[in-house]
Amino acid sequence: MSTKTEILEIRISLFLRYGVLVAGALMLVGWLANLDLGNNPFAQFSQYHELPLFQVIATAIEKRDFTVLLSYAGLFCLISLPIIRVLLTAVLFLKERQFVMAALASFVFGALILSFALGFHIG
Amino acid sequence: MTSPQDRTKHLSMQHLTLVGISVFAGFLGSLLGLGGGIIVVATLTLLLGVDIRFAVAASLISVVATSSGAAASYLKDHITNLRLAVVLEVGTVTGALVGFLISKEISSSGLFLLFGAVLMFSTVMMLRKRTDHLAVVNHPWAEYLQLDGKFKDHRLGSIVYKVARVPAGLAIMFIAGVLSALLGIGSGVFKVLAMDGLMKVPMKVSSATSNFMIGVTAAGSAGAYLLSGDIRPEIACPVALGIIAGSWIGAALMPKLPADVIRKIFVVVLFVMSIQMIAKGLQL
Repeated sequence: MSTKTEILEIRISLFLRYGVLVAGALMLVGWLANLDLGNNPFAQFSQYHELPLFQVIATAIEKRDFTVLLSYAGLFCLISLPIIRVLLTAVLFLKERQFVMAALASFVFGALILSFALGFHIG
Repeated sequence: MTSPQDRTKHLSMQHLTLVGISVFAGFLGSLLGLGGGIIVVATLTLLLGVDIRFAVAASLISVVATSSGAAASYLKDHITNLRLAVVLEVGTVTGALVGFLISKEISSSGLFLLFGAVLMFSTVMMLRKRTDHLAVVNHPWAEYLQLDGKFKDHRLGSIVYKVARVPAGLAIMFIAGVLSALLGIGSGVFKVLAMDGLMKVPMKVSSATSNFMIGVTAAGSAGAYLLSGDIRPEIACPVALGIIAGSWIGAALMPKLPADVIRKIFVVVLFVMSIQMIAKGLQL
């Protein structure tokens, strides 16, 4: 990979670092706003039970509980960061005309998107 | 009967315990290059009584956070082999998808037993002496994909290395991905084993490349866990925030701390945790 591309890759990774800060800020606000010191926060998680995300989001919107949505926005932002990094790496390889590496990076990106689809389907 | 004030104090302590241990996990993870996810899952299950499935899902978030935050540092030192990382990510991410599907079929006791076994394996791997045995020629796939590289060692100068046994490395990466999705860990120990043990990549390169890849591996199943509802912000948010803070502290203090001593203490802690996880799995 050329030095110019290495520099671009480092810039992409710096973008990830700032992305972590943004995600962290969203999660911090969402978590603190929903912090309930009056009840055991972990009691409800002692037994596994399924609760698909779309149900949680629908309930939060119905109750206008936007702080819960903030927490999920932070989590979604965080998980997206390595996925975006892989996509941008694929684009960089394409720019360098390294088509096999671009194809491999695209495969990884496709698999990461499939992960969301699997979770949505199973949830 | 506990007063409301005592109850609030007790419950505040639970929150503080979770955040505090997450900070410690992030600190240790950045210092030793592994272990953040292990500590998070063990704390959530053994100390706070959270079901292992929720613990695994929350821990994956923390692995993504640590890796994403430090990705720039791994690349800046010009030791990370980006091309090798992309190739091996094909294995880890595929494994992560399979691991997520398996997680829906495996029992909680099975997860505890598997976690304990992996901890035991990690303990043994941390004790082994790692020495560089460099390959003389590239595997044909490594030759075609130009996976070989070079880096500057402060003592030995510029070191050129080749990459061997790419298919075997990919197979181990697949297993690493499965375990990452099942147990909420980064599987760094397997990645490093594959790269420097099998593929004959220098240890510094394998550690840096493994740390770089860990976030993508975790993201391979974290998205699925998030949409299926297993990642709960009540647990995942304080864990992620603690891990982020801890890894920054660890990165800042790293040059001043005796990593070898900390590693030895961590090996003992890992061993004890592995026994506890296996015991819990046998009880369920």
